[in-house]
Amino acid sequence: MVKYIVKRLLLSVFIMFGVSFIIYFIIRLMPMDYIDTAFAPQLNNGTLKPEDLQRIKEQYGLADSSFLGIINGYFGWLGNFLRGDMGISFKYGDKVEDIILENIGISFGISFVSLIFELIIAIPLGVKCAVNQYGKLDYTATVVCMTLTAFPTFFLGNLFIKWFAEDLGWFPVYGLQSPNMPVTASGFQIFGDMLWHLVLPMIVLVMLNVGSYMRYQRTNTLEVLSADYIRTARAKGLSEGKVVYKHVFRNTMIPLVTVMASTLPMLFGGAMITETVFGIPGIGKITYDALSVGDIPLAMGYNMFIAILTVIGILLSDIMYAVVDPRVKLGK
Amino acid sequence: MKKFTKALLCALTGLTMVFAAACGPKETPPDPNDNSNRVVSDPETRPLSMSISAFDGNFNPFFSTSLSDAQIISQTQAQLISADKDGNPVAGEDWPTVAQDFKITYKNSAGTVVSNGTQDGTTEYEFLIKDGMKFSDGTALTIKDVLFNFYVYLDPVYTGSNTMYSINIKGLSAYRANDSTKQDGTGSDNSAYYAAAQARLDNLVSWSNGDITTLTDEMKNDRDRIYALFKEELESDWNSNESSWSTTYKDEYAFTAAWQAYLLLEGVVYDQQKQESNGTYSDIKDANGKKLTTLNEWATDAHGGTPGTIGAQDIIDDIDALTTPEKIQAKMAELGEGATEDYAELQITKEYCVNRVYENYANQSGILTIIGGYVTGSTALNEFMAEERAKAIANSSHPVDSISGITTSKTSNFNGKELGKEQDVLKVVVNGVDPAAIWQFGVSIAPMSYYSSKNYNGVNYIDTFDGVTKFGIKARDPKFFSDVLRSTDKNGLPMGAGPYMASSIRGGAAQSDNDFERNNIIYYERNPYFETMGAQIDNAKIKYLRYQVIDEDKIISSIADDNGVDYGEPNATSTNLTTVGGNPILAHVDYNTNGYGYIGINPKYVPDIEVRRAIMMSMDTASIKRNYYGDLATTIYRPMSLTSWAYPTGTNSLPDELKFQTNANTIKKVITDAGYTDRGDGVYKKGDHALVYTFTIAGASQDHPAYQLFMDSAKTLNKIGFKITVLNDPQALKKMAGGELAVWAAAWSSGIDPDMYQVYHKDSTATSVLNWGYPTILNGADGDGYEEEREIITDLSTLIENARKTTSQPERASIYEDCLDLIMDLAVELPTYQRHDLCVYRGDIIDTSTLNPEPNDKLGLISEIWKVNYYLA
Repeated sequence: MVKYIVKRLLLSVFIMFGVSFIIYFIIRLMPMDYIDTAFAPQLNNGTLKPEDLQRIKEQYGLADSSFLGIINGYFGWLGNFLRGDMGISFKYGDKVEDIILENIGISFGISFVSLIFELIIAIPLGVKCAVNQYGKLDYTATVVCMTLTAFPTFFLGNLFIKWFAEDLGWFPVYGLQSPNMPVTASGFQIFGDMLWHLVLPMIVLVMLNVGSYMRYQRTNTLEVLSADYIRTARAKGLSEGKVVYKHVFRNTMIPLVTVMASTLPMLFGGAMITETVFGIPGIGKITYDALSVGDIPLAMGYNMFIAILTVIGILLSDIMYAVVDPRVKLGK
Repeated sequence: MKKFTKALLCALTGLTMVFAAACGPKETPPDPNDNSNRVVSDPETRPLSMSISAFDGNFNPFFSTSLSDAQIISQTQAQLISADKDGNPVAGEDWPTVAQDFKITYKNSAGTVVSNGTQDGTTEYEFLIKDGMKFSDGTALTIKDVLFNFYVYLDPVYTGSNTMYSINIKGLSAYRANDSTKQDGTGSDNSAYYAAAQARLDNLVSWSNGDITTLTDEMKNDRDRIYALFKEELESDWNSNESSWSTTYKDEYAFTAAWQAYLLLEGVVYDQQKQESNGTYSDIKDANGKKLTTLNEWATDAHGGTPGTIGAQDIIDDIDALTTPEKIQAKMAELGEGATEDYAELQITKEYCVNRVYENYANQSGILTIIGGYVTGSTALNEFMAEERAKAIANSSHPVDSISGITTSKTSNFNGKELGKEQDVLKVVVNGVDPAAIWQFGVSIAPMSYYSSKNYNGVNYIDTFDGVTKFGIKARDPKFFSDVLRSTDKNGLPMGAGPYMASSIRGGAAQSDNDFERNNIIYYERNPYFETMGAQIDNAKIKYLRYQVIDEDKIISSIADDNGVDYGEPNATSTNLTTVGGNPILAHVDYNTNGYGYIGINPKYVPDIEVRRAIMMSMDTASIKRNYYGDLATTIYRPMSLTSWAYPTGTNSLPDELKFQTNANTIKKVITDAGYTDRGDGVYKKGDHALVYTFTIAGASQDHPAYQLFMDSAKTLNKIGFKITVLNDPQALKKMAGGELAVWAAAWSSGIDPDMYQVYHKDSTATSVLNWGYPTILNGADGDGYEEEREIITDLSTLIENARKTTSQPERASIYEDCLDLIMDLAVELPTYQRHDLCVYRGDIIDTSTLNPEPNDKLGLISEIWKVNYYLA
């Protein structure tokens, strides 16, 4: 196992190198760089001259867009990255690692809590549907879950805002915090206010994602239900409840646990559309805004962070498979 | 089954009740005149919150670039001077300005005071600095801070968006060049650097000619850089050709792929021609009337010319063989079993084409063509000039420590008034007259004690300030600017003397940028020292102020939400106005915005002035107001903001030759009278120029006020001999900066002063003149068809210069009226509309009597934020 992990980690280094190279080139090849975007209006109305723009580009390291220039830029970035310096964001003027750390918490929080609720709903529902295959519950749950999964995020989000925030006034319309919180509000009140703002976005996330987990659990359960040892358990005279919840359920957790491990990068990636619709200042929205203006340091830093998490997530997934299922041997 | 049905029915009933409540009729809204609906709020505890667009978080007053960032910073800053509602510069005890008073004195070349300025004289700006002012941290605001700010903005390595350095201040050129021999007004005059850069290019030309046989290391470096720039240019040509070849060449040439057009563009292939009996040459066309191309510069039949100089014979054959689908098939048949279906793709790729051209010229003989025949030559010249400038500044033998035109003094009598004590005066001397200069001096005054450093590489820049040679900065040092002035901790936390100071969710002064901005909310608290900004200035009435980032489509609902914001500025659209009008707790105001929309036509791509006029005649500019904005916009008839004092009063129509024509035949007569005829396919042309154009809408969306106008115009023009394509282009802004669009819709944001130099003068270096085709027009000669344009531009430039020689508004307004008529004659800019700004706020919470009663684009509804208050018990 240890040898397998070490081998995989070494391989990850090459993967990271390739990923960073590709991402850097793609961003540098974008038709407009950050300086062009930020200063185009001033250039057009004469408040800045082309030589001023060139001077500014030199300051930002964007003056040389030739192939060699991009290669130089890439290795310059790589050298700093390996020394732990992700650079300063062009758009936000702050250290990239600080921006990521400041904004990843809320994205992770929303995703993690939503995932818990998704599993709490999806797992028992999936088992129930499988046990009552082709019954009314199975059909109803499947139809409802698939319908919800098919809804676009922005559509469901805006619909919920319209119904529950604007019309009924049960929840706030936008943002993560009420702007008129009094200064005397306690930490508990501030936290409670944030949670209140997060109810609708989390409901949307849960509703959109629960369907896929439910179907996955249902399929796993059906597979296990048809196994010989389950027939044996029933033949032994065990109650149906014991058969399902002690023998069947345990065995369905094997693939589920491995899927959970690989969702690690998604938890930190931020739900960009949900964050945009509800005005949640998460890492997804911030990075999207940065990418669209060619903010190379933040785009590179964030994408490398996600790439590292993805590699770790896949590795964890493989390891968890071996841990939960003694029949699986790694490295052979 | 029964249990399940019951459960389902209960769930459905519940859902129905919820939706019925959501969708059913609302309660009758309260009467807006009923005072009992007013909400009493405590200004000491309840924060006033406002919506704002997404910000970058760069809250540094010297370096912010986005409008949202600037808006956030402005609450913490005080300016040297301000503007009143009519756009006049103001200062005084009733304005929160750093200047108490100011005066402008004109002197002629002999130094005598005169009433109107002259270009060979000077203009002196004197600002009397108030006493006793303090920044929000309690430190004194003095003339030292004013000088510190000026020297930051005027430093040659300053990279922010402020352009104070463009004013012809006495001694500024010498200071920026660090060379006391530099003359005033040379600004970023590059004549010496130009000469040095040109010499470097000349060395390579000499090498190409064989006059220089051995290159030095520096020359080799220059050569390699030119090769790299050339490769980049060829790739850029490929990219732009790939998207445009089908409209540019397809009608005339037998091209089937972009690479064929590319090789024509780069001079690898030529038009196939044959010699006629009368000795002239005509194009060889295929059965469809499309021109053919060849590698041979001359038609082999008539001239027996030698093949082109690209590559080896087999490659020449390959290219020649692959110019039409039939020839590709023939080549594949010839190769027999060696052919694959992708043969053409494998051989003719971007890399192949680019490298073929590159290899042809990237050598000793070809570099001459690169420098003289490609844009690479001028790009390299600019880069070399920048290097020469940097070298000269660093190694100057005539260093300059201060700007001679900026001085300080003390006085107890200013503008004829006795002050009773001595106060500081800042004096700025400008060469000639520049009516817009006063606004460049109206900068925010940020604290030196915060933005400079007491210990940067062991040097204390704050305490060593002497106002003679030391001004709180390390001059001309990019590292000082990046490490100190725009260090990351200061970028996120502004400091100044404005009505509010950076705070946190708990109140008090913010200790870090994480306190100031949290979860897309900006926190302020009243600046306790704001009252020191003027005898008639009081501290802000409402103690806490907040901004929250809210998307445009959520602003109104957030204001209506009791837990949302209190004030916002959504887009002024009919839909928004209807929504606001239907909710009586919402109050609103709208007024003309600061700027206007226009349609631009570039003479470089539409060379005939009559054609440009014809295009304008097809555009019903009033339709934008009718179909898109409704009452929230005004149709304008001259390219200037309606809110400017220089907009010609009484002008309520376009010039006759540009008025919208409903009868398409009237427009058609204009182009036929200009000599255009049908080329055979319904498209008209004169000579080589066909009436084929693209109308560009900036952005990816068709939800644009000018989109329908373009579509209607295209429909009309396409019936009378034009071929118009309407396109959305997300890169339009960049293309506008390069003058690459033929016809486009855009909008300007206007400054307070209507000076037109940057936008219309023939000597302007702003990229906007590229859009008017100035380089093509002004560098032409008689017989090129631009004679009328040259005359108009010359007259226009003279008028613009005359308008800059005086500060008398009536005089300037009269001159600008003539300027605007000339601009309309030039037929490059068709003014369309001026939209309104919409301000929406909680009318039941905010006391309307504390808001600006006459808001406009210069002084908005909450421009005096310190006076805004709630309804009180």
